[in-house]
Amino acid sequence: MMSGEKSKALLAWIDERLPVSSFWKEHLAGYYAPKNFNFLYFFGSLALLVLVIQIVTGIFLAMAYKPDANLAFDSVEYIMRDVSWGWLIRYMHSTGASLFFVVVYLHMFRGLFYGSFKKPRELVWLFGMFIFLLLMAEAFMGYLLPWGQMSYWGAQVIISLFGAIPFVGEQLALLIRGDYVVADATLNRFFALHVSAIPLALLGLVVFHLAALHTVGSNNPDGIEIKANKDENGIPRDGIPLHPYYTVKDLFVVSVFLLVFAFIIFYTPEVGGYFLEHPNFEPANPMKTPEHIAPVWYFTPFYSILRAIPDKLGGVVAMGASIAVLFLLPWLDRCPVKSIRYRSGTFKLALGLLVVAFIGLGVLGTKPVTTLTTLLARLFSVVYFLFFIALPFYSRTEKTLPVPERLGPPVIPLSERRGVLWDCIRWLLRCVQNCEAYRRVEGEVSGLCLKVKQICCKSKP
Amino acid sequence: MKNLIALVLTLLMSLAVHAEGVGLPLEDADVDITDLESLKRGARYYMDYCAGCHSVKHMRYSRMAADLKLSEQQLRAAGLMPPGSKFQDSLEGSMNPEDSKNWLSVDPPDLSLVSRARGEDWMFSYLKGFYVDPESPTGSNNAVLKNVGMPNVLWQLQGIQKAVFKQIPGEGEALDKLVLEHRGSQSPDQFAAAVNDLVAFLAYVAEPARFDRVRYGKFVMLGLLALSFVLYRLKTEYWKKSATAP
Repeated sequence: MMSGEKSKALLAWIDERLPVSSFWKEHLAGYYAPKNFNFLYFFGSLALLVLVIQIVTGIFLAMAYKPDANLAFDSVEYIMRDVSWGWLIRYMHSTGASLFFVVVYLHMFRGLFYGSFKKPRELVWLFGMFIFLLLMAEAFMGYLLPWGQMSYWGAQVIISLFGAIPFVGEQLALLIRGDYVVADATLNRFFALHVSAIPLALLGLVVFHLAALHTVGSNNPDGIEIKANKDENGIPRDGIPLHPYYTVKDLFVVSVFLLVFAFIIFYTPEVGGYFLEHPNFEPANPMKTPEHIAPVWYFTPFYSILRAIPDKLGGVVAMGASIAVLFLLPWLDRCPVKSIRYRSGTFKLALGLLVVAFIGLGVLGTKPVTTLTTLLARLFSVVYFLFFIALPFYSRTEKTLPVPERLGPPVIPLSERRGVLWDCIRWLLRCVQNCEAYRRVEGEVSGLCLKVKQICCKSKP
Repeated sequence: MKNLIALVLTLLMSLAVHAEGVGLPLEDADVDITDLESLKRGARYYMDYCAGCHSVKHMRYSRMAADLKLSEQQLRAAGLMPPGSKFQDSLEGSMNPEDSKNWLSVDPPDLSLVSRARGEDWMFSYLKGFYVDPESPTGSNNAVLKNVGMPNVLWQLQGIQKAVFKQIPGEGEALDKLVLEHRGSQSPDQFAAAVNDLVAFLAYVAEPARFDRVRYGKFVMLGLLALSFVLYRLKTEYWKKSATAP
């Protein structure tokens, strides 16, 4: 009893000096989120988790890493071999970098899927886009630091792109490099930017992103504003407190994410040369160009667009535009309906094609240039840009379904889904379920589950 | 702009060179780095045939001894540590870089990470891919890396191979296969096993942490699985309590 009173007094003392209780109430226990979040809604909190992992592992890496062209490569190997648990810290950082982009791309896709970028969440989207831009800069600069062949030549190619900008290009490239080629000066300034300037800006933007989100409230799979329907206490009828409901749910998701993360780190840290590229295990050699220069996988969609245009300046402009156009999305989409659940078939088809084009561009970006890959890259680039060019025209007059007043389920059951595509999937599923092999496997699995349940739970009938 | 064009041209040229450099398809290496006996044999081959020119500067004798479960005395007795070197030293080569440039026109590369840069199959095929070439300064050429500066150091084991070329219409002469002309001290199967041992050793020195990560991996995964289960139960419990929850 005494301790309870004491802690209350302590909290009151702190509250007079720092808004701890009100912060807790406004942003956690009293922040009402829509109660039908599905799995696409976990990537925001996962991105925050990866950011923390990157910062913490980055601090430990910086303790042993040498930003010096003569020492950098060897210092990374020193971390991998002689620093206690250095290999784990380094693999966490390298795997974290790739998974950051996996999580962020899925987070952005969720935004497109459920219209989370639309009014009143334009600023949430814009801050998110600035985070994405800085994340690309952070990843690009971090990739130079191991000073391997791909680090060096990747940076050489990408920085030279700035040289294609008319009038100021060459000067700008010189300013970025600090030398006429990628060299020690480049490594030093990239290290400074990678470990201090960009992470600081990123953290600031994350605060703005979340502040803007908590001002307008979270979107949901139905694209309904839950604040429009409140009870007599002013609480949204379709809302649920972020804490404890979504904190415990997110904790579970975090543990599943960490399982994937740990599997990569402990069993396949290179991921077939996609997370850690093979040529990067050779020290940077300015006199020897690698056989095939490709950026890390998360840059390849944009790199493909760059290569698809025969003109250098044109390629640079197209690549810039492919990122810049994403910033304009809240104003390009004029459809008042947010969620894909109630949007037209045209939008569904367009979004599907965008995803195919983006993944296609990504795959092509890892391959050497041939006539066929160039042709395909051009086709996918056209599809990518067409999505954004056509959107303002058809979205205004789109035939949408009526949006309900209250939230639906997190995931619509398969039996209730309408459309030819879902009819086909249902038919296919029925065919599979009717085949003998499936029934046999199903019987065995359910028998096994029952056995496990009897052994582990020992529940009385 | 000029830089960019030069870069793109260099890239295209290097691609063309790459295309020319590709000879026979790579063979499958059969490497098991958890087989300590294979690693020890590989280390012995490395010391006998590679350490004269190459280095593995990121590997220390002490680390190698610990991973191969050998003491310093055992390492010295097995001939895996040159006389005069200290236990904490790294596996430096004994050739002077100036001499090697004079003799071979290149400085033999450090082999610490060659397995991660090139892959095990590549190394296996490369080491088995030397053939007689009277036009080459070293007397031999390689089916995987054409005009390589390295001489065929394993010839006593493998024997001497001869290249058979074929004519491809429109493209000219191309390497067809390698034929063993004079047998070495080992049979082809024994030699393949020896190269596998050597590649296993180089794969091990490229990432000695592999032992650690595989050993700890299963415990971490099991721990996380248990944590996921507990957190799943916690989540279900909380969401059950909420009458408003969907």
